[in-house]
Amino acid sequence: MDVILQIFLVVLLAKIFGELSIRLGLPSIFGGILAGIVLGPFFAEPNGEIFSFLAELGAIFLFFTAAYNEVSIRYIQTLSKYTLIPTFTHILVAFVCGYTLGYIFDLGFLENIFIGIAFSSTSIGSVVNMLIGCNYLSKNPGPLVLSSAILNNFVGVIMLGIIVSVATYQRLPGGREILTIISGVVGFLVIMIVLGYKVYPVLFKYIHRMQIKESIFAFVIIIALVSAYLAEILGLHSVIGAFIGGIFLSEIPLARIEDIQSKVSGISYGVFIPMFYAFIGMSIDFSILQTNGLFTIAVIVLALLGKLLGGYIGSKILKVNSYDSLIFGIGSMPKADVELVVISIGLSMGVIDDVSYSAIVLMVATSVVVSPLLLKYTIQAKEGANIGCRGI
Amino acid sequence: MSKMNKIKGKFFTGSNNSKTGEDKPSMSNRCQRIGINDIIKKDIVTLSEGDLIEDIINVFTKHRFHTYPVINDKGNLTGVITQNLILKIILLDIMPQTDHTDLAVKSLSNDAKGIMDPHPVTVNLDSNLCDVAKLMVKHNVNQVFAVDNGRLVGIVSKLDVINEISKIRG
Repeated sequence: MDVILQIFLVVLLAKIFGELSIRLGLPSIFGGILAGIVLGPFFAEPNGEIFSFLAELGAIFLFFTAAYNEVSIRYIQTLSKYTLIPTFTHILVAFVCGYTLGYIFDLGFLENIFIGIAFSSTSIGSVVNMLIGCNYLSKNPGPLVLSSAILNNFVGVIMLGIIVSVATYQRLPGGREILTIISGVVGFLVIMIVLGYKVYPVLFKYIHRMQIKESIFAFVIIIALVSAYLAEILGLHSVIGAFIGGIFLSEIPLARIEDIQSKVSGISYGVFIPMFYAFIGMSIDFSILQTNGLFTIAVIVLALLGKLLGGYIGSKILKVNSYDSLIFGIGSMPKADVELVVISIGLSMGVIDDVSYSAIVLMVATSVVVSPLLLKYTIQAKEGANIGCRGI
Repeated sequence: MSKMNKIKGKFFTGSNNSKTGEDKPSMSNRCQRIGINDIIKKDIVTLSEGDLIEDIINVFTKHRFHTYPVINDKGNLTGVITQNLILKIILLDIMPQTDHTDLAVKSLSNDAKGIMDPHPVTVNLDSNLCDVAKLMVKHNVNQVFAVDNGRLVGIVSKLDVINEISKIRG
């Protein structure tokens, strides 16, 4: 199929299905994934070079926009120590569940780690939708759930950055290779700090005065791509570079003018990000899932149970009551962006196979459907009333 | 003919003026001569970083401006809160799902510092009317804030700019 036709169809269907998802109370990412599932059979080469490049751009813009537009590092600095313990426990328990599952099914060391990271992340967007839907954003433990999801997101990106660097060697790296990885990470961070604190503030003063149309917007996009490229040449993945570039850019007043943010969000969510989600949908192999039913069920159950138990235990350590601890555990279950990026990187690097990939996509989809239902029933049990959650 | 040229001179700036035989400087020259100090409103209502949401809503109902600057203890401009933003925060659950994450994170704080937009469009005191007009058009904003080394000095609205340009056009 012609590439222009592919792009047109993906964006069109992603928006139509996305709208339907929102009206059903589900996250809009379903729209993109569903568009990919529907269009997959009609695309001659679903993993063709052009479309996979566009999908990578989608992942880059997904991470860049998250850091630049949505959740600034400032919020992490304001998070209380109260958030740290339960966040640590649900990340740890879920990671152990993922790693152990891979070990039981005799997968490789790196694949186990990738599965562990995919298990340990929480989607901020899905958590927010769930809490708002059940009117629990400002009620306890809603704020704690959201703070924990924000922290979890940052930890997930850091874990992804480390594992991608390690996975480039396709085995556990030796001493010299670890040094190379560390120097690459440190080198990248030093460059970004110098650019972020010394170069960008001055640069944007000049860009601000440029007469050419959309100069600031263009430079914001340039910085997203430069950060992604620099990360790649220093041994990190491009999405990590884009995320860190977005963090530093979010602190530059001239780069964060509302009008520019709106344009960046427009090109990201309007065009590129749907391509990434569609690519995820196209890459699911349902026939493999049928022949690996036990593994798929184990992935779904353990990923959700790991988060639930980890969150519950962490809250209990803080002496939170049982219902609120359960709500916190359920609140850490929904997954979306980081997990999908983790597995798509894992698949493209040849570290995880089609079976794990497809099972984890199904787990992500299940998590955003099941979590709000569990939350609703738990809140009903806690409050002893038949409360309603929007869309559920 | 001369009448026609006069009308042209009003609408088309630059070399047209010399053809009319008038010595009036062009519109851009005239607006560059008007410093920002001549047009800013210095008597402004501000919010402090520690103001709670209820205080902020009270300010909106009392004064009826569209946008309020937020200042820190040193009087430095640190952000702005608009009518749009406060409405979005209060009515979060009916806003589009795509805006939820950003707004929900903001709503974790209950003070001005947490919910404000931290990057307002500012100008220095050596700017002129042309600079301000260009900024407003370029960034699609209805007001800019005048700062002196980060300290908030005043505010200029789009209406102030139009009024001033109207005056210099005669």
